[in-house]
Amino acid sequence: MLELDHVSIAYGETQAVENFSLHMEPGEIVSLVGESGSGKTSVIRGILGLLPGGGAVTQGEIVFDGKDLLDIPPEQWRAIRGREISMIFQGSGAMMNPTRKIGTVFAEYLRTHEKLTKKEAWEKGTQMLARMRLPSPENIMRSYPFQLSGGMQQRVGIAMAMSYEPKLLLADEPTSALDVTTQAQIVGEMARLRRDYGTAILLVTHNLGVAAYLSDRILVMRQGRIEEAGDRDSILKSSTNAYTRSLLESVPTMGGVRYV
Amino acid sequence: MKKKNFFLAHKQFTFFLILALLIILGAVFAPVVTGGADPLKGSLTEALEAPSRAHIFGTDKMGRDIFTRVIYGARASLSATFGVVALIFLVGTAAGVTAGYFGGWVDGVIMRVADMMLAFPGLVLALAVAGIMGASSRNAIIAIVLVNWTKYARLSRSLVLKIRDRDYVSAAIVTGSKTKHMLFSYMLPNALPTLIITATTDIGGMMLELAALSFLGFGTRPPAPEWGYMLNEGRACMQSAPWMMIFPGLAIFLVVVVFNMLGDSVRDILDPKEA
Amino acid sequence: MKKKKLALRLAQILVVLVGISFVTFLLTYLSPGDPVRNMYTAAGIMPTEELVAETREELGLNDPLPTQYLRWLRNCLRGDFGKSYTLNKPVTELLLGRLWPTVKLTLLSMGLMLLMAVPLGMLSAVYKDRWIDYLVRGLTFIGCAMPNFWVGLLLMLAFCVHINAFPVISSAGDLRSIFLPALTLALAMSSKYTRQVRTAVLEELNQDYVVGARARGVRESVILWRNVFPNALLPLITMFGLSVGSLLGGTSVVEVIFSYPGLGNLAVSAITSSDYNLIQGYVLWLALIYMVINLLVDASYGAVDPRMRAKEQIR
Repeated sequence: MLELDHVSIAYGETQAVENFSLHMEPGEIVSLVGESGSGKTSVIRGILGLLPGGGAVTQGEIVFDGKDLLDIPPEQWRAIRGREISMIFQGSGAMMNPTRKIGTVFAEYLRTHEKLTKKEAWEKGTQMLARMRLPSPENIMRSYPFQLSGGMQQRVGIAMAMSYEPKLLLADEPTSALDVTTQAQIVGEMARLRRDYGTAILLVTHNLGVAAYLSDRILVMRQGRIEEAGDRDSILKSSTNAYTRSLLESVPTMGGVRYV
Repeated sequence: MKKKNFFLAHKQFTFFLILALLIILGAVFAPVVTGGADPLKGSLTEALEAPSRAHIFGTDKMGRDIFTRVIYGARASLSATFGVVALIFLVGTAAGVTAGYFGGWVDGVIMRVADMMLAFPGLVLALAVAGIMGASSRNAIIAIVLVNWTKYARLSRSLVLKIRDRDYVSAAIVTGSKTKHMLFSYMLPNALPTLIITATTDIGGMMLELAALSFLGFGTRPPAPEWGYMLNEGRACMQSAPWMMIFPGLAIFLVVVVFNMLGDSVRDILDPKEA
Repeated sequence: MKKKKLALRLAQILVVLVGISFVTFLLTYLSPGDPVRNMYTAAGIMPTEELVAETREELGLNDPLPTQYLRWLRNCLRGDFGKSYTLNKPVTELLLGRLWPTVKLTLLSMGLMLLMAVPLGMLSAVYKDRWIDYLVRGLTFIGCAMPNFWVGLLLMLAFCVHINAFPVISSAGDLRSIFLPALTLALAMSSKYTRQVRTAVLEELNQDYVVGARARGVRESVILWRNVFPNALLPLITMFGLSVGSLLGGTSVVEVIFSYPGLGNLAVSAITSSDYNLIQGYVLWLALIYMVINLLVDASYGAVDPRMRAKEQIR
């Protein structure tokens, strides 16, 4: 479904990602782990063509459902972004215009992809929030992003991203800004997405615990390259790679037991 | 050797610095540049002549050579502008640093006065002050300083407040440093770069404000050559002798461009992150 | 809570106003010229020493400073700013008569300015570091270095003398005569505002929500005009409040050039003829207008930015 073939990404002269390859099947959950600056965020931003200022894919191919994502016109991009591929971020609240109500942002998004009146879009948004089991969806629609808690913002972000049941969900550090309890809630929600909708998820995180809980496969990145890749158990339990081991050892233990 | 490298590394700065120096030198050595012509004397038989080889910028209604007057006019404009910038810099910084350092009622009084000055629309107050005190270049300078010092006061005050809370300053206070010592060895050097940037970028703006005042007749008194007033004279003869207003205006424009560019490049050097 | 804040703000304004009135009064009190002599000279009379002394007594100019100030202030509060020496009419009447033309000029020039600055600034920001950005930045740079009175004169030279499209003297109140002065002011302002629009829009374009909207597939035009632009207005409103001052000063220069019958023109002639009452009235009025506008600007923050509104509610 998604194929990254020897992709390199550079910001001007600086090489951020080198020779990155990845193959994903529908319904699969893959985690990209690594320290900040290892290039993992560049990879998923690169997939959606949203690299920040001056960044560009300099080599390789990105193919999604037979479409070459590096070479499609803007009109088609719109049909893919937010519809076939959705993205959630570290702070979904910050990804919405702070001066507009969540409902307005939501409706604007839905009207991009469907012919709806403002009222219809607003209703559909409310229903979507309800379907994702958010409490009092009408209130949320009428709120501004900053009025919600971080966890609630994140759940709204996920609800929005799931509006069209995308085949692929890109998640950029979705739990990093949250406290532990809320983290667990969001992780649980993402696991349910695959179960209920068969959504494939490409998860970027520096939290090995989250990666361990969710993923089928894990890619360890370091300085723009894939350091090690494999299924979850082989990475967590039997990795011989020194860097992977050091990452694993830095995960805090609870009562002497390491949960990853 | 090190100096040379500095100028080579900042080509834009060097280029406009040279231009600025040329303008200043041109004003200082005006008699040489104009070949000894008198800016005040003209012959009425040559009044309102269009630009020609004898008078490359033409002549005004008194038959005076406009080129000569423009060159001599640089003296009035430049000295007044530098005077204004130096004064607002000194007065504003002194007030702001004092307010920021001492705090309390000293701060309150100084900043309320600054607030009050800010409540007057700038040029309006300058006009009133310059007009009421009588037209002269000194009064025009005072008027503009009166209106513009507050910006520096605010800026230096906030800079001092920012610095005052830093650890090394607290340490110096704890170890019993004297007030004067504190002000001059910690506060001022830290606030200075930002203030210098502001001052250099202000040169052009101040020149325009001064020119506006003298254009309205509240600056240097005629017949002394001054660009703003020359434009005023040119306005009256616009139909018959447009060169009378074109060249002084061009002079203001070019000088302001040079100093604005110089200010921008100073900012780029002292504060690279803002560029 | 909100009422308390408003009351505090009004009290502040009152203090500043008293300060302003005192400064204004002091200005003329300390001035070197003798208003009585000026008054008679303006009327074409060569006054005798006795007449001068008599008139001084009559006008209360021999009283001590505080008495004079308080009397003047009391009259001001009643809307009586005295009589203009030169025009022999109440100052309030004169100012009121000139207020509308100046407001009209200011509004029209603001409108023209926005028509130029907003599209240019947006273009420049959206196509950052492309040729159009360099072109716009170059133009604004030139614009910032041009004295506005020179621009006015050049426009006059071009349109009135050479093409004859507009009247040289804009004394009539019709659109044709107001257009050139307004254009002059607009040109002078638009350089500064174009830069400001560019900076504000660039800042907004760097916000996360823009990436968010793109990731959701929202059209660039919707992002730009429905999201970025309204948000970029906030710093512009602040700047507008601060620049009203220079605008009001700027109108006087332009009004003089085009002989436009506005407040500024009146003030300049009042200043040249040492018509103190008129000057005082003018300065006080403008300071008041300036403060009211800035108050409105402050108040509009809440309307534009819900974050501000939320903060106010918490307080």
